[in-house]
Amino acid sequence: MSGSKIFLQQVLALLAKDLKTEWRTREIFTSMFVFAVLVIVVFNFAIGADTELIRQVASGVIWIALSFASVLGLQRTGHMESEEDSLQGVLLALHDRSALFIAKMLAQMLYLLVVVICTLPLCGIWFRIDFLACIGELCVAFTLGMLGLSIVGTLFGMIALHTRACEVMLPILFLPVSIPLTIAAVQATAQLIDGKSLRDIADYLVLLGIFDVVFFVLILIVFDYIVEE
Amino acid sequence: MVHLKGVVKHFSTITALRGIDLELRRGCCLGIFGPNGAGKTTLLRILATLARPSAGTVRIAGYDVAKEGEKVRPLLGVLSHRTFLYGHLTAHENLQFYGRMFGLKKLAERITEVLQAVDLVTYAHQLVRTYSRGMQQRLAIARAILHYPQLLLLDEPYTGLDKHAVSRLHDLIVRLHAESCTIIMSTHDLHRGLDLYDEIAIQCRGKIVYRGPSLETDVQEFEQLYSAYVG
Repeated sequence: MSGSKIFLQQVLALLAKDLKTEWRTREIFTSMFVFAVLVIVVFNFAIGADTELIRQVASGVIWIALSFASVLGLQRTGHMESEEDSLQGVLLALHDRSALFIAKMLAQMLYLLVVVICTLPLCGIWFRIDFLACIGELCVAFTLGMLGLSIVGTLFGMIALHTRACEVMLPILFLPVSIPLTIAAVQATAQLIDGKSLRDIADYLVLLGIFDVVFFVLILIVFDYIVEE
Repeated sequence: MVHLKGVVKHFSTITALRGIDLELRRGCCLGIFGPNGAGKTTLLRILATLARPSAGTVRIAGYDVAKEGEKVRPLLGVLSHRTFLYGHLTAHENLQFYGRMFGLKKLAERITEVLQAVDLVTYAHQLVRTYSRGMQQRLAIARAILHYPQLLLLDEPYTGLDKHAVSRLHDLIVRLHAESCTIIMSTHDLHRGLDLYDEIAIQCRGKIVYRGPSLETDVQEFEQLYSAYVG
């Protein structure tokens, strides 16, 4: 069997395993979704009824909720892999270890996507924002932003697994590195809510794209060493 | 089959392995004995491509473990006191996952075969987290041999096993040995399975301090030998 076929087969096997486990337990989605909703509710009460202020901070609240929900999701994923040292079993079966990175990143991206799909309508109701008016444009910004969070999150999730204080290390590593991504995603989302077009936010989209590509390539190069020791 | 030369492993200031030299022919069963902290697990992790040696070379079936890990891994079956299984999947699903990872042909038949070998066919569709520890370890044995490994690495495999699982594992090792599978087993239990090995080695403080044929060693003699080297 060719290398790329084995690679694809292993990515699919890993992804199917993760999704099947999640479908049974719903641990990752539940923790991510509940946390995201709680953040939005708390901010909603904190801001009060000032509609203009709500409009200004809504995109920031959404991306903060997604960033922190990512941390929770990654911690649950890490816990699942470390329970019976299953990660070691996976590493023993992998032809190219970056298949593990791709599969985990895709799974994290899917969890985030489901959280966004469930959270955004609630956000629209509480913040009185019509997301449907710019849904197509928002899809582009959210896809690039969530992809970045998944790429960086998967990397630091794997690094944190090898540390003793995994729960503390993950946010300490992940959140600062994702700051440029979060800023770009927040600005892009805010301007789309304000009725700007994709052309108007092109700079932010380029920044998001560069962030995703740079981290993706870097991680593919170093992932073998990260998971080994 | 296995060739180690001057293997050293450092963990920051701690030296876990201090120059291990080892040659093992195909089909040989080697038992590595040693106290806790002797570096047995580190040695097996390096052989399993899960850790890189700080110095020295490791070759398995002619492949350099550090540079050609992807060619070495399909040849290895690893069993440790952790099962590497997913509790929220059934036994069948766990084996199916690992079988797909290894790209096995006729996977359904092979799964039934290995489940029969560990006497778990009846429980194949039960979630692994509902299994007893002994059953989980038996399933781990099935996982380790699923892809027809040529080199079996067993790290304290008897830990947590019930009587039934011990006898199953023993039978399985005998069978795989007869089928010319090379086996390396690390343990600190001097009394178990001494009859299984072709050769025995004693590892202490990161070095192999004794190596000899097993058939010529009885338990008492071996205990004396072990005490002499380990203290």
